[in-house]
Amino acid sequence: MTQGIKLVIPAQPEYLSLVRSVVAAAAALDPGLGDARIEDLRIAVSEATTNAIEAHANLGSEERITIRCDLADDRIEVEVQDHATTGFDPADLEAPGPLDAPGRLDYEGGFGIPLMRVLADEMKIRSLDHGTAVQLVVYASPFNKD
Amino acid sequence: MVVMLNVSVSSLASWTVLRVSGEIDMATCPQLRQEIVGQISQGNLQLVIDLDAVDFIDSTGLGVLIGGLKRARSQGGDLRVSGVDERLERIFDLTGLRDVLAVVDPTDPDREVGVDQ
Repeated sequence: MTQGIKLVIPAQPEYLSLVRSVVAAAAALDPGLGDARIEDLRIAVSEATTNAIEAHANLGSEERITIRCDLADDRIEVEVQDHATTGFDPADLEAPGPLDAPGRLDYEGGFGIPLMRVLADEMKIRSLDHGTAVQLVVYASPFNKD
Repeated sequence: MVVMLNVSVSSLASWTVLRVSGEIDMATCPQLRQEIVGQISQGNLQLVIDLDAVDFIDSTGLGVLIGGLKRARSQGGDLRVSGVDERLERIFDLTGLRDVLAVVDPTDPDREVGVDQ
């Protein structure tokens, strides 16, 4: 059986903390998820939501962002969907070079997508007609990769 | 909705310590960036960012630390961090930040340390 919640927020950074709190509280309902995995999910969801807020800001979009959180028996799935009209190509967002590479310090961003990839057990980015959806999945034990 | 990050500033030998509490994300990082830039422009080039009371940091916050490090070093200074617990260390490791950002003893920022247990 799947249970879930849906959160619709203005595309503003002030709501990030709320999103993290709600997702962490939902994840805590799953007895198979330990604190470390909930923390992983909290960061990954924050990254995805930050990207969505940036996408809206870049386009001056007033649309809202939707965060769906589904609790299944063996996993928690979170989908962050923005409604910015131009979806991005994940291939454009490959990790920058190593931090000690010459000139790397000139570039302060680019950690978000690689972090999501390592913190979640699965991450998928889908381009939609009107926006982008990022799906993050964290499995409960025994698939727990901690 | 008001989101606040608290930053208190103190001096320790040649170091200026910025003790941060709260959550560092897209909403609060402009405040931390402003504090760091302000200190450097006042000539306080040896900075320690104490993260002991930070409940959350994401890539946006890490970007501010890198920006501060770069700015301090470009003027002959340095930026170090303290109060890094296992949770934060994991994020530092995953992003490679650990290789460029020194984690120091909050009572002696000249001394590099491991992680708080």
